[in-house]
Amino acid sequence: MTDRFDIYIAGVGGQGIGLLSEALIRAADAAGLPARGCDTHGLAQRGGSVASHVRIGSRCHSALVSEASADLVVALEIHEAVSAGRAYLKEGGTLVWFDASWQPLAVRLGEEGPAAASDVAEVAALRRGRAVRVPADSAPDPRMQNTAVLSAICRQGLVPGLGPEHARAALSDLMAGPALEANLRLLED
Amino acid sequence: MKKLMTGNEAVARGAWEAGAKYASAYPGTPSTEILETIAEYKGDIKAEWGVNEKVAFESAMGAAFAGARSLAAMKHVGLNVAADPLFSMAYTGTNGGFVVITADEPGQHSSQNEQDNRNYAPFAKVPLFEPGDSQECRDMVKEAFKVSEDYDVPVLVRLTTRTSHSKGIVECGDREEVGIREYRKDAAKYVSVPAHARARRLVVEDRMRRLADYAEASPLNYVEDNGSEVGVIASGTAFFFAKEVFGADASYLKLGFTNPMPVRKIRDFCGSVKKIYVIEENDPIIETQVRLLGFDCQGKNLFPFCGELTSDIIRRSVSGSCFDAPEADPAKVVARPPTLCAGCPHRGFFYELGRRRNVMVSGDIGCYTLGFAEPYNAMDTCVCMGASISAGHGAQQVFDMRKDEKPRRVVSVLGDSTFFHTGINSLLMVGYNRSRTVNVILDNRITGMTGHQQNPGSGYTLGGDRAPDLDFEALARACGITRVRTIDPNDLKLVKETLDWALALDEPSVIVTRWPCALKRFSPEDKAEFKGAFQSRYRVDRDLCIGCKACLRSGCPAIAFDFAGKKSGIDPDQCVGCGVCAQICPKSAIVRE
Repeated sequence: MTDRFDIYIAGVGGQGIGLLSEALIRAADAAGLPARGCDTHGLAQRGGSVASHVRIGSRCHSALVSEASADLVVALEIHEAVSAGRAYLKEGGTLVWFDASWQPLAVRLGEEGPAAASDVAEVAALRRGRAVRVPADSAPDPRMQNTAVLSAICRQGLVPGLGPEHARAALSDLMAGPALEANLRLLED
Repeated sequence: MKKLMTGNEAVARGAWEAGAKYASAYPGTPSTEILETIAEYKGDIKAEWGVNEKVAFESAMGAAFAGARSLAAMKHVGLNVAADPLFSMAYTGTNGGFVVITADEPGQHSSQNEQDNRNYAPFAKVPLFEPGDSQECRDMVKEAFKVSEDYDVPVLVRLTTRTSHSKGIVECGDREEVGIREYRKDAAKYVSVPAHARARRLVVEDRMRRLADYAEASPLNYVEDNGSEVGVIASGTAFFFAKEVFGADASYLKLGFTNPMPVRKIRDFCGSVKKIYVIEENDPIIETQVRLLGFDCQGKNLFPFCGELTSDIIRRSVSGSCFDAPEADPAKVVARPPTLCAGCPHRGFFYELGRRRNVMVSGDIGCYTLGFAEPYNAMDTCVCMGASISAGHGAQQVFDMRKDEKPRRVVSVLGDSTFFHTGINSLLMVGYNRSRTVNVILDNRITGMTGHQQNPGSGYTLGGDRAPDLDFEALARACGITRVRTIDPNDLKLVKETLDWALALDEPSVIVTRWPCALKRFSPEDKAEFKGAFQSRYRVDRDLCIGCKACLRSGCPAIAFDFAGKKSGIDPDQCVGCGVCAQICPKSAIVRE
């Protein structure tokens, strides 16, 4: 484990970014790693772009990730993957993205073109990093897109020191009952 | 015991540990979660939503007069509303400890302005703490209660967005059981008539002199010595951002208690380093002090007045560049401003209102402020909480002075919680002075934008107890307005007819649009009143759709356009069945499933 690992998470208000960042922080805690973070609250949650910052390791003073310095950029939506990757991915970093599209109004009205998977790949290539696509059908329920991404992160070892067992511990802190069981199933296989 | 907490949660924890017994607040980003967390200490602290910040402040002030440690919390602009009692309470002092939290918004993430509420402290002559992370929030709130009682003074604690919302590990303690102090009648202290207040004025000045000694002695103002080349003076969260940039290459004077300023500590520190940076968000308050002491420094000449001072911005200000970021291709980055949610009850109303010509829409603060934006363009003004009805009133009076053939009409719109906040006084103005304004209360049954806080119209208190459900129609009539209608805003025909009715009147009217927020957790009463709400979905019949895009003018985020097939489509995961788009479609191609 390095002494600092920065994660920038982007998506659309309502997609469950806050829960994903909380789960990552708690997973880090379960793995014995110091972690801190910061979420978006308020007006932007109403369908606008939202971002969360998660910083793992002892060598950080504030909760915000600096531009172009995220070891891992996580995006829950394709347009957000393009803009977050451009602003935050560090040289050689990883951009993991959930393959869903929530068209921004400008796209719906035909003022802007929609983003394509090739745009995400291009952003990652520009930073000499890699893009990891999480297919839409990996979430059996749209409310579990965030957990599908958490599962990909932990199972593919995208955060040093974090495995599925830590994600399981984190989710068990945050939910209960049938919702917990359904989410935990995503961390299997 | 260590716990992961946001700054807001840590403020609540600090208040609980300090033995607080009463707290009140009006919700507002970034402060909202403070009172929500305090409410979880049920049994130890009585927590209540105030109808506005002034009322919340005064309720907590009364609780403190009665002898309990009490707290009021609000966002920065809320303190403007509560400024009246703050300034006079600086004179009366308190009995039980009294702490006011102001959560400022450098960067205006969710606010109409950017104001540095540290200015209130010297203005009102009250002590000021500036925590910068979660641990400091807990520690400084506890200390603030102590200072309040030791110096008989209301204490201001200033948070900023990143302090409020950042999560970090907090070392916690147990609750200190502080009893309720004896209440004694003391007119010379608590009755602010001029004769008393003139005497208290001297007490205020003497208290500030004594607090200056506290500032010098306080361990919250400390030096981190890393040599004499570069010295950084910073407060609040800016200190932690500065450390990201300067690391061990600078010495630091960290200021946690900043009114009155620790002048001797600042002088000694400035004298010990060759180059001084003052890093503070928004106004140059510490910098002015440094310059008054005769030291040159790098401050607002280098760092921006506006916005946050994140490490990126500090780095760019100091060295002219940030980390090596590629130039973004703006064509590829599509902005995504906030939007009314799928199923939002405001959509139908703004869709119809935006089609009106020759009206001025006097708006207000809440989710529905988004009615100003594309595709509705249905709002002309939005200034501050409650201003819609009163500003609309004044505007109508002037439009009616003009000799236009068809004078412009004013439609004032605000939400239920904003109406309770300060809209009621404004409606009384309308009823009393008789402007022929159309006053619309968008009643979505909850305080929406800040995340669903109960209010006097929702039927429940913060603690979950049943409360009387305010009757808008009865209140409007009590204000002298007899033309009152309540409608379902998802019924576009009814919205249109009701606006026609109100605009034809030569007297004031009130329209209540009543439908719950799509995100609201339904109470048993909601389930009974709004039977079947959000249970159905709509879909586009692609054989009937002609690709005219009329439905996109609803602005619903659940509707996407398939540019290849030239047809609209509805995301079944987002649609909650309000049916507004189906009423707009000219080909009846949007059908209920």
